[in-house]
Amino acid sequence: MNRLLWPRSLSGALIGLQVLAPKPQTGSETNTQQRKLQVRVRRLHSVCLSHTQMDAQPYFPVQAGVGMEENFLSLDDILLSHERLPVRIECTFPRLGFLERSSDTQDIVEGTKMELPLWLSKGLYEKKRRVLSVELPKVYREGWRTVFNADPNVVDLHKRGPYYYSLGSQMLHFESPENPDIAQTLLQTFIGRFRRTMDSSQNAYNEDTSALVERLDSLEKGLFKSGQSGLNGFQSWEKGQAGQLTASSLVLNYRKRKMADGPH
Amino acid sequence: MDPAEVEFLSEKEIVKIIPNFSLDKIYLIGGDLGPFNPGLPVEVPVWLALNLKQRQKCRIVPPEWMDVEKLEEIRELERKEGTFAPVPSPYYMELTKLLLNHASDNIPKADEIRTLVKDIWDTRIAKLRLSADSFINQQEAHAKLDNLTLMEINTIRSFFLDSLNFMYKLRSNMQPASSKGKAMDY
Amino acid sequence: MSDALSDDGSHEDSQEDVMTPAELIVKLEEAWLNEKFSPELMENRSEVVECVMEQLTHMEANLQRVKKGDAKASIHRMEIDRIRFVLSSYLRSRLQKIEKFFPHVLEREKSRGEGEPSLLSPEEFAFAKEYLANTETYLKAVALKRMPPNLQTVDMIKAVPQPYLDSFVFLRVKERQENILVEPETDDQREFVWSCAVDLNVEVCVLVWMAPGDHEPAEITRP
Repeated sequence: MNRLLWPRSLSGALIGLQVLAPKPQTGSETNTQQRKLQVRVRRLHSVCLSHTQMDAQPYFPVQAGVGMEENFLSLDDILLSHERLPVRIECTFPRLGFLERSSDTQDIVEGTKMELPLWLSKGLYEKKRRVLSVELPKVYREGWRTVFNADPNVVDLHKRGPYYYSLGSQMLHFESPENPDIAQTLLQTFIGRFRRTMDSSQNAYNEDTSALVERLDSLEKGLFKSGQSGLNGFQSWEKGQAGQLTASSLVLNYRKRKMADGPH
Repeated sequence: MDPAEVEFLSEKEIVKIIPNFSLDKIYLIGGDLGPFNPGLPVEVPVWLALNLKQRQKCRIVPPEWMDVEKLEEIRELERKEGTFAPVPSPYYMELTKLLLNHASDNIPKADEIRTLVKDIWDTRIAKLRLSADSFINQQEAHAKLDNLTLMEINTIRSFFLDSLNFMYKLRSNMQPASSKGKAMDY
Repeated sequence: MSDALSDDGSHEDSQEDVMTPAELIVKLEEAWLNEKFSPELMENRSEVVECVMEQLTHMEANLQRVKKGDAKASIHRMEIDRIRFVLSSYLRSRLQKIEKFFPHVLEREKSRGEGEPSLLSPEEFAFAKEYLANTETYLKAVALKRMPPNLQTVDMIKAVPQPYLDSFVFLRVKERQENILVEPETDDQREFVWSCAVDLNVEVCVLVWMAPGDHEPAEITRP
């Protein structure tokens, strides 16, 4: 249990720090410290994360594991592991009632239906001993699968996901007779949507792409981005902009940070 | 790979120049060049040709294929064929850009050439996307893409390879009980 | 020349003495492109790097003696700059991969049998070790020491993703290979094609597949 719990919670905690640390206000000592912490957390990411685009970024984020795998240091996978799944508790959990806010009982009794994050469900799930059973989220059930098989392009995967493919693949860890169909639908959905992802990422030059990506799954968004970087790289080369030297974004950000730190 | 790096590679291609100075043979690490005599054509790599041209020390002789008629033929062939037609040079795009930008006064009908090459490029890129799509659709594991150039591959490389890897992983989901699921337990 | 990439060191050594500087540069560029496009860290080519460095220093020493404004000298300098660019880009892309895969790179180095060539040059090995140590110290300082005592270690091997050897690549076939059939699907064939990739010099390529596990280009017989 412990082995399973810590890394995710640590990673969660780190993200929490970054998100939660309040915006610095001028003058206060504590805020300076908080900001330092913020910077440090950010730097932690830059130390241990790795990359997609070798030349373009000061640090390289670890890509999502995709499929049944998860990458420990991938931000997307950490967020994915916090997705909540509907589960049914199959044996009583003594003194864990506080996890279930809707009731005041001390224990979580057998038969309780509740939502647990993916990482916890995966940790508690065992094939032999039935501790809990996981229900399929709606979007992977047969009704939705029919929709995906008919025309995957109509679905807003961001709204339904945004980790449609990753979570779907993770669902395969839990035994179910529907698993082959789920895997098949995931693959077909990706293939069916590929052309659109490709065309939009390879054609949108110098325009606002937010409308193009808003219906994409988080992985498709990653693909969209790499398509864009290929296109933009070529276009700026063609126009002769590649020859101009620009300051690295690391340096620019550093200056901004320094300026923000200035008054202290 | 950065397009500038592809351009860097293209600068190793050989072109003919007509120098207006004389200089003995130069023994470079990568091979010997010269000797240079005023008015006598000599072959040098593009990077040197461009440098000499910028210093007004030579005239560049455009490569044979950089010619309106030849390029029109190539364009027609490219439009007619479903597969990628042979290109005049593995660096046709880069060389066109380099030579036209730096030595357009040595190249007759430079503007027409620029448009033609761009047409050829666009046709080929459209084909490339079409074949990428059918590659994914049919879930192929390999494809033969004769005559594709480095710059063309480069515009689509990371997108296409990421997509393929992604698709491959989704497909390996369908073989359950693979050893992959085991590694999860941190 | 073109089949040297995958061959073992002994073969290469015997070739070295007959290599011209021009061939050496070709080799460097080949190593550069292969390193850029392959999903994992490739074997180090320090013999090539050293020879190129030697050439550069030698040439620079010669240029010191030339008087200013010599037309030839400026051309030599340009060439030196170009070679230096390839060289540093090559070394940098290796360092980036080491940063990306450091625990796995070190693990492979550890399990390397005696006499087997090393993946890393001595400098790269030192870099990888230091990178690991720094990362561990840093994680410790910033977060781990605040964790309960039994949770204060991270298994780097598990935490850092491995190079993805199932990755697709573009291949360019450099010379005709008669005995290689690429057919879709079955697992053994997949492995077979990866061997081809190694054998044919992964460069900028036409065919797509790199595959798991076995890196020995053993089964291929050359025509």
